[in-house]
Amino acid sequence: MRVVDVHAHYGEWFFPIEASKEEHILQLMQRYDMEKAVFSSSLAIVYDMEEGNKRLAEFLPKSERFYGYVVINPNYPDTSARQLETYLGRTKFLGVKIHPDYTRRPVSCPENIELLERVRKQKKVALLHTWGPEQVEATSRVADTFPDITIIMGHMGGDGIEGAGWRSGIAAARRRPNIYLEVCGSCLHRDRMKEAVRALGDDRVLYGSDMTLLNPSITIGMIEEADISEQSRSKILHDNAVRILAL
Amino acid sequence: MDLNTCFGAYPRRGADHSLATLKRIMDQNRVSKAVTLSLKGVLYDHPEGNDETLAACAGNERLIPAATLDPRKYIGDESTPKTLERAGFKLLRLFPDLQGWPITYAPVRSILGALRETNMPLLISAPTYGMATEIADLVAGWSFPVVLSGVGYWNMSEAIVLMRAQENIFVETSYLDSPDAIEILVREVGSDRVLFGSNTPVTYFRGPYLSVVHSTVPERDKEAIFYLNAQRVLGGAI
Repeated sequence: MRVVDVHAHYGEWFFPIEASKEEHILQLMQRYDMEKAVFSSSLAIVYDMEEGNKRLAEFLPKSERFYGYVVINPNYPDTSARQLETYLGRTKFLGVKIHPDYTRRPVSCPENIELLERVRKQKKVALLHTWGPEQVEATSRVADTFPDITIIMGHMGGDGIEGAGWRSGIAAARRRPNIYLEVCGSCLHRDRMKEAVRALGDDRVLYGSDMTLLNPSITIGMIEEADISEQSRSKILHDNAVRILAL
Repeated sequence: MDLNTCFGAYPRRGADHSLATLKRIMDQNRVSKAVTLSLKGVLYDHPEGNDETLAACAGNERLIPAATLDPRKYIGDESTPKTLERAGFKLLRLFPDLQGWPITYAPVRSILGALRETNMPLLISAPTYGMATEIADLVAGWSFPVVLSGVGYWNMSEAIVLMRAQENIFVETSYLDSPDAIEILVREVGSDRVLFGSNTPVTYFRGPYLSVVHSTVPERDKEAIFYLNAQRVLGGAI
């Protein structure tokens, strides 16, 4: 089954992960039948926004299958605005990525809201890392502020084996038609796909892997095993991303 | 063989963890044997849970009974590692993550000391930084196999350093979630130290399964990870 990955990373990690270079990424994409993947820079997220976005911009032209998100950081609003100005107009960049854990600011903080206004004007999407009920609320506030931005809720609200984040994510998306749930994570609850599709239908759930931090096998395995229809599987793995990202 | 399965109820999650679901997942994925235990022993009462485990495994050669002891209840009375082994259990599992006790905890020392008098290996969750190190310190110099569950990208360096230093430390696959975790572990500590476990039906079976299937290690290493290592660690008892 064909796959589009809306949540991938390019760069190194502070963990024992060696599969971070272009050739490893292409091998992973081949292994899991990924047509296209949308990357954000791990360097930009965790340490150096400008250098990370620059390296990603150099990486994306290496394959027609690679697309990107510009990483912005509300602690550096002026630099973030320049990053948007530099990259967001390029066809390879489909939107922005904001990671509240590494910035220690909610995605709905005033600086992010101001930056997201540029995203709205350029009709791009926003991938917002969302882990736990509190971050689901912040992502929901962004979705309410910008009903015309497609908000991709990373990890569909997250929260691991016992947490309630993903159920909060589903509830938030039910009330907001511009929220799309992206499914990746570790140690995933066996009901999350079934409950998401039952609550939202199968048009607003998107496949993401979190490679190269995570192995795509984790989420591919989840979708293979989930108690949903073949049509839903196809939409989640591929069709929905093609539609909302105009790939 | 799946070293890490369970069945029963899980009120904190609310999904279907029934024995029937476990058996269905095993059938769908051609799992020949699963080491399993009742969640009742983890979340409620270990004597009742262990009884339920034995009852579920009785007459089903595909299910291998794992015992558990809750250190919060353990005072070394009727339920000891020795009595559990005599009752037919093949492995002891401990759950510091789900039960909230620290590794440096007197009842844990008592349980592990008693485990030395048996031939049962230990499977123990160690999902946060430092837990595996504390476990390894407790069992340093002892010979029974200790299989770490809860090893993922975040604590894999800890597991590798410990496995290099102590031959009786192993790792189970259910949390191994980084793209080349299997390849790195096989290179650094050898395929004979990695055992397949899925943590199903708590989590999806096919993620950890595909991680091993699609890894680039030789087929003989996959065979060891999927079956032979568990057979050896369980003492050929299955």
